[in-house]
Formats: sequence, structure tokens, C-alpha cells
Amino acid sequence: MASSRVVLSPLGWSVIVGGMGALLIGLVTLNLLLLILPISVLALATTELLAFDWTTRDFGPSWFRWQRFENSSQVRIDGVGSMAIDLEMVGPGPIYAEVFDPQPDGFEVVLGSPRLLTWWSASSPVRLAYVYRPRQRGQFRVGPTIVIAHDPLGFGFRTAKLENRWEVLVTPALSVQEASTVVPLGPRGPSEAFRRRVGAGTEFHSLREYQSSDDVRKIAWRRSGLDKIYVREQEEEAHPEILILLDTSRDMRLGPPGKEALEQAVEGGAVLAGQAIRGHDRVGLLVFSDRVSEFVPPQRGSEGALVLTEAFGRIRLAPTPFDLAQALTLAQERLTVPTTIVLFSTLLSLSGPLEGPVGALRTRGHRLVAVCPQVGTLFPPAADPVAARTLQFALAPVQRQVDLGVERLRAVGVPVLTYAAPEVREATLELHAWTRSWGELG
Amino acid sequence: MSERVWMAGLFYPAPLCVGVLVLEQYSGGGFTLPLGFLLALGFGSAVGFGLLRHPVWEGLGLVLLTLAVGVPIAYGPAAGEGWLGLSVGVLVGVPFLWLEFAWREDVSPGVRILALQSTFVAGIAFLAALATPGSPTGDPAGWQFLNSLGNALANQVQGGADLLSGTAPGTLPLEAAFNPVFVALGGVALVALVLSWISPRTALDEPLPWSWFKFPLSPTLAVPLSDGLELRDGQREALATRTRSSSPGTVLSPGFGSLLVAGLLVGAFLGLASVVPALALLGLAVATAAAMIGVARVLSRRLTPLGGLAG
Repeated sequence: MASSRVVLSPLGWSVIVGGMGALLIGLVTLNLLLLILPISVLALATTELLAFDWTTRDFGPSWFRWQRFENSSQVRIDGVGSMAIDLEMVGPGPIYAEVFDPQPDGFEVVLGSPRLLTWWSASSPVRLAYVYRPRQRGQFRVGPTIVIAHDPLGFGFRTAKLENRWEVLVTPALSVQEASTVVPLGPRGPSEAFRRRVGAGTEFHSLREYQSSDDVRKIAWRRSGLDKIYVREQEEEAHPEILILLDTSRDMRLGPPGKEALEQAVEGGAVLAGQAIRGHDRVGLLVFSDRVSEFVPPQRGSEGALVLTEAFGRIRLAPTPFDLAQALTLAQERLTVPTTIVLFSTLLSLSGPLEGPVGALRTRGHRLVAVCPQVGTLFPPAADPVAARTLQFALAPVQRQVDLGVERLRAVGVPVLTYAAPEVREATLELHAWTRSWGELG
Repeated sequence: MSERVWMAGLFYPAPLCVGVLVLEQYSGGGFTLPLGFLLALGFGSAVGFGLLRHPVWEGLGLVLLTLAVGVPIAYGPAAGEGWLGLSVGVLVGVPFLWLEFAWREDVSPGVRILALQSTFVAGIAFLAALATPGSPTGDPAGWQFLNSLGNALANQVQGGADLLSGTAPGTLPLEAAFNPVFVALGGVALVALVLSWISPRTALDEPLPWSWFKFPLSPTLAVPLSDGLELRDGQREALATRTRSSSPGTVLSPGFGSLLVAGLLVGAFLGLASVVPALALLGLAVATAAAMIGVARVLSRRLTPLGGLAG
């Protein structure tokens, strides 16, 4: 039968080594009192260890039956999850047992306990139950549950791992902020105002006086007279469909653990997706580094929100560089209607020509806008001036690289919104309002 | 009185007993020998009970005590009765400088064992010195004691060398040193040392639940079970019915059996040593070797793939 070996604890080692040293001293003197002390200590330690080894000789996973129940498999970052395990000892027992269900660092137990230290006899089952609050988005693994049989005097222990791992997906919360606070209303009401604007469309919108910069082909000759010349204004169709293009390359590692650029991007993406779904728009997600990690086609409604939430939860860093040109090419292959593509990236290492892919997007009626964190704001402010200067010095080349990326994108006509990292939510709300109204991007 | 004072109270009597015996025989009405003994006892106790924890004071005290022992001895009988008495007094009180390591619970068991054993060794050596002739009468009493101690140790080394070379030893003063009161008080200290481990504990020295010990419950209920947590009924029920720590229903603590067996083994050794000492020594050697082999086998057993963290 499978069993684990006895591990001698520091306490056990200490007793045996101390006992042997004392025995050596006793043997030099041959005094009975000086022999009795080490004999007592060594007899106690060795008897206890051998007895513990004998009584738990087959200790291992085969001693137990277990079942997880009432376990959350998907938890929102602002919610709580629950874990419960029933364990039954089918081995001979009884033992002093320590039962422990290992938690990822991103979980904070708020109720119950994942650890139990108890005297456990074979007849009584053990139930471990606890509630945790996730501190971090992502995919996490709970378990395997570990059972440690303790020697009562602390000289040694045996360990058994029960293979009952459980996957938990912690998803971001899609924003449900009131759309009316950020969407400017037009004369045709909230449903139409953000969908249309004056521009290079085909539908007639209104007449206005001719200006010297206007194209003469737009002059409305029938309405014009000798004193005034009018031009026609057409409506340009806005892009109610949004594709969130999320860079998961190694450049997104910038920032302290748990608050990296990637997490800022995910939060921003979740806010944007939430706002879009609330406004009955269709929104999709393309997760990309140098290849597609995940693609969620644009969709709307509560089902769409669920699919997107899960996809945002699964996002993780990739150890590869970002290939924006490839990402845009693949995006346009997958999009069937004119779409606003919102890129969340640090723009740290944009390689290859961008004019072609961006131009191809425009040709198909898509628009690209980039959202980029200010590098310095990804890190918490340093406690002292020396640390602040060191951080500034270390980030300077990174910031220069990012600035180059921003310039390159702007040079090909892509609007870039930069934001201070703690304000990603506000920046995304502003961006969302902009995608609906096509006003000036701040 | 606090628990540590009670604990220390079980370890102090044995070395105190030896000190009193030496004072009784060698102080000769002078005050320097008792003064030296009290100085060592006082300094050791002050450090042990945490009254004198500053490293500077500790270091200074140790230097002064070392000088008090070493300088008069270096001068020999010429140092005079008073200084040699002070030197011997400090020397006899020296075990109190490390006795704290035998009773302090925050010290590892191995160190505690060695601290107690070395206290016993010092006590036995002083007892042996009391029974060994020293320098001729006329020398200062302190010098006579130091001579006796030196002779006892030299004879012990010689006797040990004789034993190892296969010849019959002349005398073994430390082996022969015996004082029933010291043995009884030493036994009390030994029992106190062993009993201090008997309460169940984990490998990390965390108390295990048992009926004589009020075990703290698992760290639970950090947050009250409120509706705000949005738990399902099943989850709430699982939380409400989770297992709490429980102790064994037996009166005696687990591990008591080993203590009993260890007691029987010691009794058997004592019985054999009183009847056939040579056989007792042989038995001790064989039993020690067998025990160590057994422990080594237990610890070196091969891991199966299913068990153990290292699997």
C-alpha cells in the first residue's frame, strides 16, 4: 500500500543529537546519573518514533476518501467564493491530523478556515469549509489538500497529498456605470445621437454656408443664390461595434505584481465592455501577443457579458513580444462590419510597418484607437527622494520607447489616449463616450 | 509565581546542593568563597530571568567572573586565602551561568539536554573533588580544592585511557562520585526536562488539542456570516457544519505510552547496572546502536510516488 516516509522534525533531530551528545559525555565519565539522562531522552525519542512509524505504517492517500462540494468555480473579483471538502478516514487511525487546503496568494480567507488541527479517529468524518475573497483576477488552483499525521510529541510527521485540485476563475466585474453620465445626448435622443455625426457619409444631414475649404462638389446649387452659397452636410455612420484588442505580451509586465499594465488593461477593457453592453452595443475581445490567445466575436446582452467576463478572467501574460501589425490583420479578417478597435497596450515595442495594416483597416471602414498607460504612474510613488530618482532613472528609457510608439501610431492617424494608471476607469469611460460621439479625444 | 520561576525551581536545587557541600567543606569561616558563589549564582540568575539582558552588561559580567577565576589561579597559593576563595566560589557557581538553557522553553531540546548534562558533569566533578585528596595541608583552602579538582579530572582521564587500552583502571573519580541528595535533585531536574515535552505538539511546536489543555479554536469567524456575502444555502450549511478541533477522549495524552516504555527501559538499565555493571554497559551500547539503526531505517525508507511532499 502506498505510504509516505516519516520525516524527523527539527524538534526530533534536536532531541536525538542532544541525547547522543549527552550519552558521549556520560560514557566518558561512566557516572550512572550522567548515563541515565541520555538514556531517558534517547529511549523516549526512539520509542516514540518507532511507535509512530508502526502505527502509521501505511499512511498515505489510500487512508482517505474525499469529496469537494459547494465549491465556486467562477468568482467575480468583487465577490466571494466558497470551498468545502468532506474527508473520511478509511485507514486504521486514530491520529493527530493537520488538514490543510492550500490557497493561492491571491485569495484572502474571510470566513471559516482552510486548516484544521484535530484528533481524528476513523469513525468521524472531517469537514473543511471556508469562504474567500479574491484579491487578484486570473485562473487559480486550490489544493491538493494536504493531510499531515503528527507524532504526538512533535518528533516527526508523515504527509499525504490528496489529489483534489480545483480550478477557480476570478473574473473582473464588468462596469455598469450609468451610461447617461458619460454619453452626450443629441437632438435625436440617446439612441441615435452617438451613432451619427457629420462627416464623410452618404445620408443627407443639413445645409450650411460655403467656406473656402469646402469641396466644391458638395455645393447645393439649387439652394444657393447669388448672395449665399450652401453646401450639403452628410452624416457619417459611427461604429456601434467595438473590438477590444488586448496586448498580453511581455511588455505588459510593467508595474508591481497584481497591478501590472496588463491588469490595468483588463480593468479598462472590462469597463469598456460593460459600458458597451449597457448601451446595447456589440463588443468583442481579441487577446493577442504574437498570436491569438483568445477571440470573442462582438456580441451583446447578458449572454455576451457572461462570455466576455470569463474571457477577461482567463487573460494571462505571454512571454513573447507584441506584433501589432499581425493583430490588426487578424482583427480585420474576423470583423464583418465597420468596428471601432480599441487597443490596450503599453506600445513599448512596436515593430514593423504600421501604415499598411492601419490603412487596410480604414479601407474596410474600421477605426483604431489606442489606450496607453503613462509608464511612471504604473509604479507606486517611492518613499524617499533617492528611491524616486532611481525609479525615474530606471524608467526613463522605457518612457522614451513608449513615447516613440505613441508617435508612430499618431503618425499613421491613430488617436492615442494616455492615462495615469490609477485612473484607467475614468480614462476608459471618457474613451467610451468618445467612441459614441466622435468628439475630440482628450 | 510565574511558570518559568516554577520551572527554574526544579533545576536549581541540584547545583545549589553541590555548592553548599563545597562551601561547607572549604569556606573555613571566610566570606570570599560564599561571596564568589553568590556572585556567579546572582549573575547567572539575573541573566536567566531576563533582569540583565543588555549585551554590554552580560559581557562585562562574564569578563569579570573569568578574571575572578583565572587571575588567582594563575598566581597559585601566593594569591592568598581570600582571592583563591573568591575564585573557587565563582568556579562552583559557574553552572548557573548556563543553567537557564536547561529550563527555558524557547530553547531547543538538544541544547536543553546538553545544558543539564553539563551542569550534572560540573556537579559530579565538584563532588569527586570533595572525595579526592588535594595539596598538603597548610595551603589555602581554595588552593586545596583546586588541587583536588585537578587530581580528580586527571585520574578520570588516566582511568579512561586505561580502560581503552584494556588494562584495569586505577580509579575513576567521576564514576565513583555519588551523593544521594544530588542524585535525587538531579532526577527531579531530569523529570522536569522530559515532562516539558510530553504535552502534545506538532513538528513546529504548535500545541495539539488534548483534554488537559485548553486548545484555542481554529482561527475562524473573521467576518460574521452575513447576507452580504451572497452565499448559497448549501454553502452556508457547509460552513455551519464544518469540523472544529477536537481532542482525544483518553485521559492520558497520546505519547504517554512511549514515556512508560522509556521509564521501563531506564529501570531495566539501572537494575542491570546495580547487579552486573559491565553487562549494563554492553547492553547500553547494543541498545543504542539498535535504536539508531531503527530510526535511520524509518527515516530512510523509500518514498512511494503517491505519498509525501517530495514525491
